[in-house]
Amino acid sequence: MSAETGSLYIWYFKVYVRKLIKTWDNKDKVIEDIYNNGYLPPGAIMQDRLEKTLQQFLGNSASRIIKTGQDILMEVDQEVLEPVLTEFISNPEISLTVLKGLSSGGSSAGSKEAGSMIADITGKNISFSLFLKVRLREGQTNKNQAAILSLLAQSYRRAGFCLADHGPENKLDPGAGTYNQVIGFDGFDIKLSLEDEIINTVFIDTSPARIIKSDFFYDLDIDQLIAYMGRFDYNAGIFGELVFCQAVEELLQLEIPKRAKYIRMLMSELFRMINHLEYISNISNILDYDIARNLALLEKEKILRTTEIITGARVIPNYMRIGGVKADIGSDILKKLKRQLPLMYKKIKRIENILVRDFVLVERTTNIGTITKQLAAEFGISGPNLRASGSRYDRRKENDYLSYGDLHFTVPYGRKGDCLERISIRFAEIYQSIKIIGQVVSKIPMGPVIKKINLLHLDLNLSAFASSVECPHGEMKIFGELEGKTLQSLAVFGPSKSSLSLAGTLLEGSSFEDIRLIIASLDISGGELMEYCY
Amino acid sequence: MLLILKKTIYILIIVALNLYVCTYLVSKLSSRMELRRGYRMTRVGGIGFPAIRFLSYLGKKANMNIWIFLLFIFSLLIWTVAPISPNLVLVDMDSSLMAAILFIIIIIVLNLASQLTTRYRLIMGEVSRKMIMVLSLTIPIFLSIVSIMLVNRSFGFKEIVSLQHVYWNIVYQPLGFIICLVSIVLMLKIFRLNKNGVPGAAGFGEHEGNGISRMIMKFSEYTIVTFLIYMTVLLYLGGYKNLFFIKGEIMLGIKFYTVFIFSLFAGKALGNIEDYRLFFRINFKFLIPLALINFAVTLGFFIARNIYGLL
Repeated sequence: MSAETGSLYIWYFKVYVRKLIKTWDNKDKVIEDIYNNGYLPPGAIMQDRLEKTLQQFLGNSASRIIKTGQDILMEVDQEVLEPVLTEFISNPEISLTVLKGLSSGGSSAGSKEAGSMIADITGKNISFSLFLKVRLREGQTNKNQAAILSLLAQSYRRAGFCLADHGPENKLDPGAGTYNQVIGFDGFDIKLSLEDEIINTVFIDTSPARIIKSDFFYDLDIDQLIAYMGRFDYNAGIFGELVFCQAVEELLQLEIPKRAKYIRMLMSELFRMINHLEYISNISNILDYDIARNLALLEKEKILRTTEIITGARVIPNYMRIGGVKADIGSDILKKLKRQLPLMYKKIKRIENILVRDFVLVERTTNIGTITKQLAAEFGISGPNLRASGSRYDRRKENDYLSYGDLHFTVPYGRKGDCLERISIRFAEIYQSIKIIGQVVSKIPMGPVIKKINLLHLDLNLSAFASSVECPHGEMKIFGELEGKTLQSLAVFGPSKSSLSLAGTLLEGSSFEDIRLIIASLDISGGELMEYCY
Repeated sequence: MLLILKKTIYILIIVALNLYVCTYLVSKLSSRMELRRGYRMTRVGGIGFPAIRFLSYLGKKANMNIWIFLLFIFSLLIWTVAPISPNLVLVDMDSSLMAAILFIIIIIVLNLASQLTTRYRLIMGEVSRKMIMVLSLTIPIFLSIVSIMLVNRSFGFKEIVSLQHVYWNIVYQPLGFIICLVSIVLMLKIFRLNKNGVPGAAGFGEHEGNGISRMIMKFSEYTIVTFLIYMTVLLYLGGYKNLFFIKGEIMLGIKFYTVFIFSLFAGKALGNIEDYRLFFRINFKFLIPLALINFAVTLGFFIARNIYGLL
């Protein structure tokens, strides 16, 4: 072998080694990117496409169209709202036909703006939202809001409910005497007129829930606000905190530790179970199944005690933090939880057998309060209520937030969309939650539970943040704007509002004996109805 | 005259005591099944809970009318026809069973009459709806009672009880007993006796009637249920017949409370049937046909035995 050939071999070897090292580096980078969600999420391509389309068609009308987290924010003035909405509906390339939520912008006392309204609009096959922020004209806020609502009501059926609720001219006179008022609901009243015990017209008044003033978050730092977010869904307090923390983390591009993600999933599922068990106990109470009600409450109490040990609170946990969670969970609690799971499954199965196999309940709940797929889409229903009507949509699968992608679980769905289906879906979701908790407990990695950041030096330009989670009632969204350290606006789009807007339609034509059952089967949380600034 | 007064006082004391114990049992059983081991009120009141409840009714404003007054009278009068022991009966007549049926119907009709107008402008108020359901539930019970009359060939309580010295009537009429028991359980569910202050299916309910008038209505509801249980015990389970060395009166109490507690527990496991459609499906497609079959079979045996002398 000549010296030339030898050097050639050496050269080949060097090239090979370099190549190998390069690939190895890349591999690491790929793994790192996957871990840090460096790759685009599945909906990002659609999001890009919609953003460009909106820029192309409505770029002149809107003052800004930007991405906020995994959603899009479009800001328009009140004057140009009508052509914008027409374009949303009529343009096949945009096709934003579903109004999911509507909220006041809630400008804080220190805000520079006069006021605004934020609409959460989406399409039928889109998994993200367009937040349409409408800046109000100078002058009377209430009048301007009513004008916007009437414009929205022309395009979206869901807005009709808000118009009847908020619009001054459509309000029924409670003293007229022809309407009966049904009391005992959290956060809203129902007034209805009857004809032969069949409900003729329904008016749902959510004014009892409008209790928070515009300075709800005035003078509070964002980390202080977490404790208040739980109040937006007091049946499952963790989700308000989670969605808020997630949104801020997304804005700050903060990657939280893996253990914190797992703990968040664990807590979410525990609170989901708590909410569903509360739902079952409510239904049992209305249908007078005392044994089932007591068993459901007993199971709920057991889970509440676990959450109390972990978080220190039962209703509003104040457990989430920006960058992770407040405290770690001890291994003894996890072991105990794992031991309890099979027993919990057995007991909940027993409750299901008592309830769902009973012919009285089946007869009572079949074909009552039926939500069809189309109706659910029109009113922007989400969560178990949507899944009961036949759509297999779950934010945990679609968005893959936290680490739900690592776990195996199925999304239960029904067909008919009646009360019975909605009850059965809750049971199926509890079983899936038990399955998820089992996996979380066995897979939970070691490590820190919070990425500590100093929020004191936070100095941001006006920037919007948005996020969404799958809460037990449906899809909970948050939208806000942050400048410096202070919040400029905050809107929480709870799924219960959509469900309540549909309740009126469901009640019309049904028997007055079914009012409580239909409302309870929709699982409306009074906290989510909270609004300010109207 | 003194004897009648003595009997009246005895019967009144027994009825009042039973009412007290029944109310206590209802609240205690419900509270024992609750998660926190009892409603707070029950724990505070303890054995005196029914008395506290009675006082709480008195403290409210009431709209009395003539129907409420009559309701109270008839709810007491019904106990005059049923024998508590062979000697302790105020009106001893041959057709006491017929009188009892008549009294039950009168109580239900009076309940209806007192609540025909509602403040909610519905066709019927919550109480009226309940009472109409109860009225239709009495149909299978009365059909079963007629079958008992055919078996024993008598209209009187005392005679029917005395005829059960060998076998209780439950042996001859098991289906009739089941029908009576199911109807009583359903009545308990309809009256919602174990749920104080809980609004009805549509959230109206408990606002109708307050104070002493509400108390009298509640008393009449208790009377209907307890009297029907008492009647079932007399007609099917041998009534105040001695069992070996145990005295008849004690046996009567044991039987009465066994059936009462059983009905309470059965009611806990069942869902409510306040829904009209469902209720009529259960009653008219299950209970009444079953009662008719029972009656037809009994009638067949009666004709074969008494007219043709076959059996």
